[in-house]
Amino acid sequence: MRHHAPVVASAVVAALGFGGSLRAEEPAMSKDLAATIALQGMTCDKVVSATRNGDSDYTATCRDGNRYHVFVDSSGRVVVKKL
Amino acid sequence: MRHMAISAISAFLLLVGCAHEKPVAPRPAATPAAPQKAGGAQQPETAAPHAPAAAAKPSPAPADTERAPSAAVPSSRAGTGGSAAATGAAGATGSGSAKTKVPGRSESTSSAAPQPAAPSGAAPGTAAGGSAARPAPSPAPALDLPSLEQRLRDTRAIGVFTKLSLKNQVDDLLGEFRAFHRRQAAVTVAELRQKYDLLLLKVLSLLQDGDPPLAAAVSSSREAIWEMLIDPQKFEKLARN
Repeated sequence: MRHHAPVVASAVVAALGFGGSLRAEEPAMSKDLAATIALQGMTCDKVVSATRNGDSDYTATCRDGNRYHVFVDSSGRVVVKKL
Repeated sequence: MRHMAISAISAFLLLVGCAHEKPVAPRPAATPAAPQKAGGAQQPETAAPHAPAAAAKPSPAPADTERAPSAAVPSSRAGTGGSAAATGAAGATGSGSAKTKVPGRSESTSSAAPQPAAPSGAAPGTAAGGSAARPAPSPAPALDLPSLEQRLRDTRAIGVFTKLSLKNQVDDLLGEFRAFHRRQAAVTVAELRQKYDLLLLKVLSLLQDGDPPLAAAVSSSREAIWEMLIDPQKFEKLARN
């Protein structure tokens, strides 16, 4: 049991901290994503959910049903692609 | 003997009565200030007239001080009766004393005080006018580009992705200005201005809710930044930095 504890803990931490939908930072991140999408000239009144795919890489779902892939490319530019 | 006594008493009473009448008018002069202060707003009218009379007749005042208690009632009567004269006196000679503490005057002085104060306030008004003149020069030195840039970096009103996206767009616009100054692009000043305004509008819309002071600073720097961008020499200097 002792040997399994660290593994379980790390799994929980990984599940909470990485991947999946945003939690504590969700409101701010959702606003940030919505503003980013709007800055690129695309429609998104509000981001209702966002999934972190990796570092600076998100998939955002807007209230109107639109989904966007928001990420930073290798040249440092923010790219928004409609899914 | 009876006649003598009666005549003596009547003469005495007459004297006393005369003495009372005289003191009444001057009384208020000596005492009005103190009683009226404590009395409040009801007696100021009666006291007001007395004060001028007292001022006019300083000599009887000492005699009145002795009869202060009995004179209180008569004084009010005398005040009403001689109010016209009192006011006249106040208007003429008593103005100086009336300013000090006469209740009736206190109102007038209080109303008059603001007027003199108004001129003094006018000085501040002029100062305000000066301050109104100051805002005009303030826009000129408003442009502190490094500080503005740092504030934009530090503000929490804009998220990281949004900041990065804005920076991309700023860099794109700077590239267009550079091409314009090098005559490498067929972009007009009007088009550049339109793009510049649009970008600034985006920044302002992002800042106005989360960081109003910074939004105001950016907004006030709009023309200064534009001047810097459109002037080839200033732009070159900016590009170096």
